[in-house]
Amino acid sequence: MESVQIRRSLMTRMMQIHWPLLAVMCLIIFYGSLLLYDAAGSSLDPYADRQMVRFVFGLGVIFGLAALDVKTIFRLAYPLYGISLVLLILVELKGHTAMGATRWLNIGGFRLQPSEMMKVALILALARYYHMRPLGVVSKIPYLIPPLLMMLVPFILTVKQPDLGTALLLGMMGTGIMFAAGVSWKFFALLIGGGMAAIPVGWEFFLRSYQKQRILTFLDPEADPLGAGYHIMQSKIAIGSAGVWGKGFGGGTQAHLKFLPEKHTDFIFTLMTEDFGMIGALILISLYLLLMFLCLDVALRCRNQFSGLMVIGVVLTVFLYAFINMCMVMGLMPVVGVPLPFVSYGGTALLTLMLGIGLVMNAYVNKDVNLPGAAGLSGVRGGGFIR
Amino acid sequence: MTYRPRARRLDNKPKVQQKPCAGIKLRAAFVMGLFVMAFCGLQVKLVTLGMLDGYEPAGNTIQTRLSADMRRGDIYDRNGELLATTLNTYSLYADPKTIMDVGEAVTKIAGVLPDMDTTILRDRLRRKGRFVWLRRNLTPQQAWQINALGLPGLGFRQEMARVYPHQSLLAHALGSVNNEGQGIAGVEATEEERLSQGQDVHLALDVRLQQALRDSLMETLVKTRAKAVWGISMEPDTGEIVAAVSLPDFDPNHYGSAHEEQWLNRISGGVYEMGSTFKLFTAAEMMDRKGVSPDQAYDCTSSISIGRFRIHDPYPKSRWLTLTEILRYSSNIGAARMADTLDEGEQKRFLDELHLLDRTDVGFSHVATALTPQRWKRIQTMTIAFGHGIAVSPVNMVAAVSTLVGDGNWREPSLIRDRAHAAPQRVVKPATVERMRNIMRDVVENGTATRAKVLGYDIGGKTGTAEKNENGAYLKDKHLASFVGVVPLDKPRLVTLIMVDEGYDGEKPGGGGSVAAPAFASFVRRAAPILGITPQITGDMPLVAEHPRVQRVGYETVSFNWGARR
Repeated sequence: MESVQIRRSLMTRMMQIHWPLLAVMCLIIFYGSLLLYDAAGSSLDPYADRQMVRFVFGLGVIFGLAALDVKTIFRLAYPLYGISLVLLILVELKGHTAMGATRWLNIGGFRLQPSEMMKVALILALARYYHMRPLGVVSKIPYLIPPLLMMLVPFILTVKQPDLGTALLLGMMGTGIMFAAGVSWKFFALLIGGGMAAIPVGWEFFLRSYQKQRILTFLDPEADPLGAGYHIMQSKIAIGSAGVWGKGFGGGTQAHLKFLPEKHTDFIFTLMTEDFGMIGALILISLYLLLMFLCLDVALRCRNQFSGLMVIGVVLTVFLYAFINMCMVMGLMPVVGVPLPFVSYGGTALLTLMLGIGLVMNAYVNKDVNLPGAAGLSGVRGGGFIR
Repeated sequence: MTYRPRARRLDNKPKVQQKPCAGIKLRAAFVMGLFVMAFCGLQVKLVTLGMLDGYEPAGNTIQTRLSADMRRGDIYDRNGELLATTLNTYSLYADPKTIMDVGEAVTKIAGVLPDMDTTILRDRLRRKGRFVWLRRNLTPQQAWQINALGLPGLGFRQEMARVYPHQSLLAHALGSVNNEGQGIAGVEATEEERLSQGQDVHLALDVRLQQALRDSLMETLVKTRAKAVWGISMEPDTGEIVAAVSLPDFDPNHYGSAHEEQWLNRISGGVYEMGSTFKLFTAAEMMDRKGVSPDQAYDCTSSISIGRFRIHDPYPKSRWLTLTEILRYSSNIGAARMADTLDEGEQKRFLDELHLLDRTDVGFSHVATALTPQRWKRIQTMTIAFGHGIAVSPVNMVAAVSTLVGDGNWREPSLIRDRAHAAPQRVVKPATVERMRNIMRDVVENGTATRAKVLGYDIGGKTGTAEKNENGAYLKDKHLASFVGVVPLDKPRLVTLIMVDEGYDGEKPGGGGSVAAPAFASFVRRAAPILGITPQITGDMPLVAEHPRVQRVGYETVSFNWGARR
């Protein structure tokens, strides 16, 4: 059976992808492009057209990854993590500064955001780490230290950039993968307790004044309605005034009258709610849930631990992006600058997410492939395939 | 390392693997449940934001910003004369990238707008960006001419500009707006809500009377070399303020470039020790509440000493004076003697009934509160009787005098016509009104205010000269002169208060009779024909009537030398 799988042609493997999952993702992206069209004042230029170009490029990435041998990804996991880490440190040393934050590296004419790369790399590295560790040992302290270090180093580097949104995302996603890998519940109880205790310390020593300002503003946005609280206030007004059916496509007042900044990126959810109301939001949330359900289903069917955890990592990323963004625009969370997945305008985020979906596709195509190591999420142990 | 052998052992025992498998499924279900719950929570929050809260924007920041897109309401005077309006203007900008030939563009634009600096223009057109302002608020004709140049890369943005066609004539009453079109002073500020919603506002002011008052006051300002001159004119029948001028003033079209001293609205934004004009209230209270006749005599033979205070007259008569005479000669001693017969608290109650001590909001943006003595005992009652030791605002003053000479009812003064007002309140009897008119006629005919006389008009009034109080000491040579006058006395149409701050009559510090009364006369000469009051020329009067010296100071900008005064 294994030998049959190995000999599948590139084309065959490409065609074995999870079509419903691809369809759901495309639906979300098209929905997003519609909103971008509206954000530009009923014009394809300058957001929707560029987003579509990236989407086509991203589709290529998905098919390419699906066709890729899972062994290749498995082997690349640690080197990719290493490169990402080096780039993150390079950013720290001589990165391109934009809007007060150093997040980009100029490499041969195009700008690279190593923190985005790190999101993928961390998923792969943790998945590979836990692939090699049987369930019985993962909760033992010596086996907890390497994954924690893997998370902590990029976490601190991104906090320093400063990019609090990505840092939180890395931390929460890593913790989620550890949870899926079977680390004891006690560990998470301890982690949450420790995190709470660290809040005052972090406030005092790590947060920049603008980050503190955002958090304070979040706690009381009306205190500074024209300054730092402006985003949240306008966003809440826009959502609050939309009603069940919204004001119709292109009918939003707050967004169109330019009260709402960043309406095509981080605050696109607001634009959507203004135009399509509660129903529009419900549709998007349902699409996200469907996407995540399909991915989780893929994860549970994987015979090898690596693929399964990789998918979990991707699902967590999508979930965290969507959840944090929506909380942010509804004023439930401080503004941390996290885009709405597959919807917000922005090439790096879209490509990272489509790359993630590509990894899920790869896991689905290779769901029956065995890799050496611990049991896959399916619970069926494979033989020593690479061995 | 030590765990590796055990891990190997696990590999060989399929049974052990069944357990974690169940655990993993549980965890997956847990995660999915978390996702669903989180998103359901968000959806609930969304619904509450939208429907249950009915989120109301806090404060009016949103309201005013939205209304910036709406045309601001106009302001009119009582006759429908336009006082403030919003015009569409065109602002010229350029996109330097699409300008083909900068040199040509500069020459052509400078041809239409010759006052533009060509080097600055050239610099702006050579900038890197895609948008530069070239000139704000062009006239339609200028915009048309620029457009006709046919230069690519130029564009217009329509903007709204607030325009005050009467310039500084109604400066303090109208106030002005800021760059965002929000009212910041005067009626523009107090009626911001209505104006910003596009509603028009109608003022009680009459532009013609306003012009008459301003001309008279400007003439006085120049002639007496005063620091400041202000006046307010009210209809006693309605309480409406028909004219209100405070000099120095400013041009609301250029509010920002005015000096701080020019912004001060002395009509309502300041309180002053009025001096002898307050004797009107003392006399009215004596006649109305104590039944005293105008012929009742009081001992004015010598000055009064109480404790460290000494009340004396500037021009002592040194005899007994009747109530009428006390006002005619403006005797402080007489006023103090009258007030000394009042019980404690009576005086304050009467002034309260006349709303002299209120903070009356008539529609001006600056409203000052009266200063009253903390201890209001015998000595305070006696000094307040002649207007010392108490400071009130000119608006309250003119409304109180209107009560005494109108029909005995106090009416709330108003600057804005379409506003609800308090009902008239009866204060004094009609008989008292009749006596007050006679007394005020006597002051003008025989007393301190003979320079307020205008041939053919039945005028009454009362002068006031307060020594200015600086740091607790009264200054002999710095006067705040005032005159409150009524025209015509038999059926009053206007009650006018004029105040002159540190004016000079020749070389002498001016008093109410020498600087304020003539200003009133000058106003009556201008205002009476506008009001249609015909002069009554009787047989024993000279047949050649004196003509008003028409001196237009109107729109010229008088430069105030502030530096030298300070």
